[in-house]
Amino acid sequence: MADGIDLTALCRGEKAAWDGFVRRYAGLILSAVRTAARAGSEVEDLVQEVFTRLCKDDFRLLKTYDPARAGMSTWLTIVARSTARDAQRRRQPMVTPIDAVPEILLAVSGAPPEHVRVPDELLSPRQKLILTLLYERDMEVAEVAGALGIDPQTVRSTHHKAMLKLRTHFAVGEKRAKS
Amino acid sequence: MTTPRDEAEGRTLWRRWRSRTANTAAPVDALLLAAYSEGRLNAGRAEAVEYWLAACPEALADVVAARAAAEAPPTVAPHAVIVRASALVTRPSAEIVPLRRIAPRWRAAIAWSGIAASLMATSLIGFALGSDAYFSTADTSAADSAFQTLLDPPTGLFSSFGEDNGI
Repeated sequence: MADGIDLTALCRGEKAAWDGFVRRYAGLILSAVRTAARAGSEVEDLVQEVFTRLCKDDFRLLKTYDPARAGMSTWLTIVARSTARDAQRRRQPMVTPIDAVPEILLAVSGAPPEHVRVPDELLSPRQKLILTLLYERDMEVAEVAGALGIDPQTVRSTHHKAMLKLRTHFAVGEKRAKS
Repeated sequence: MTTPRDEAEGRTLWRRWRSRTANTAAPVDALLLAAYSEGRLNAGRAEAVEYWLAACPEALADVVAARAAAEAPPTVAPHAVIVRASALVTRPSAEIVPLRRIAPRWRAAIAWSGIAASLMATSLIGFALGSDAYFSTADTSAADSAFQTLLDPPTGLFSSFGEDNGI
């Protein structure tokens, strides 16, 4: 069972269980799809895409859900958004206006070629994620904290430690390159 | 970031790092993302998810949306949406009813023939054994008389079928 839904009956394709599932989660899926839909998209069609995907191939996707690992509402929100994006891409490839791309990704550096090797493991995954959000998504500290569910002070502290590592690494590397 | 100068330096360092490394994070499935959204993962597994989130902005947006949805008031879907989705599953039950296998007629005929043959053989053997036992234990003259009676019954038994009946 998950949130009062008999998963076994649902995955067996029992009509009563499916109808109960639809009544229970149609609103949640509609809300999730709205936040992922592009302007002009038919939201109700996207909701139908989500339900189709859930029952397709003998409920293959639904059978992958495990209530011990995450809540049904959370999982459905993520699945709904992902399905809506995929459906929209199939219908209409997205074109990103150049103004919407962060400048840092477009910048052409006149600096000389980099002679310093940078190991991928220099920064931890969380440090990489926070720096990505701050410098590529141009998010504020509070926004990053909200997105990751952590304290803003943690964001600042993680950013500071990452900067120390990068400064040290590049400073040492440049000295070696010169000598 | 405290000052614009610090921010500019930070961007430069970050750009240098990004230009030299490639993010080879493995994609994360919806269930793992959902577990991360709910704070259910240990530090090691959370790191792996964050590695992916750094490479995939859409996945991060999904996590943010999932967290927001958990706190938002429920949305009511239009009736038409519910009816349309419900129609995707039509059968009342997915129970599979096995069809009774019909055996060919010749197989049944052979089976019954075998049974009949067995019964006949059993009967004949039983009769033969019984006759042997009777003749071996009983008086032979009496046995002969009984045997003759069986073969040539007295006229009283078949009096209506006598030679003078004119049949």
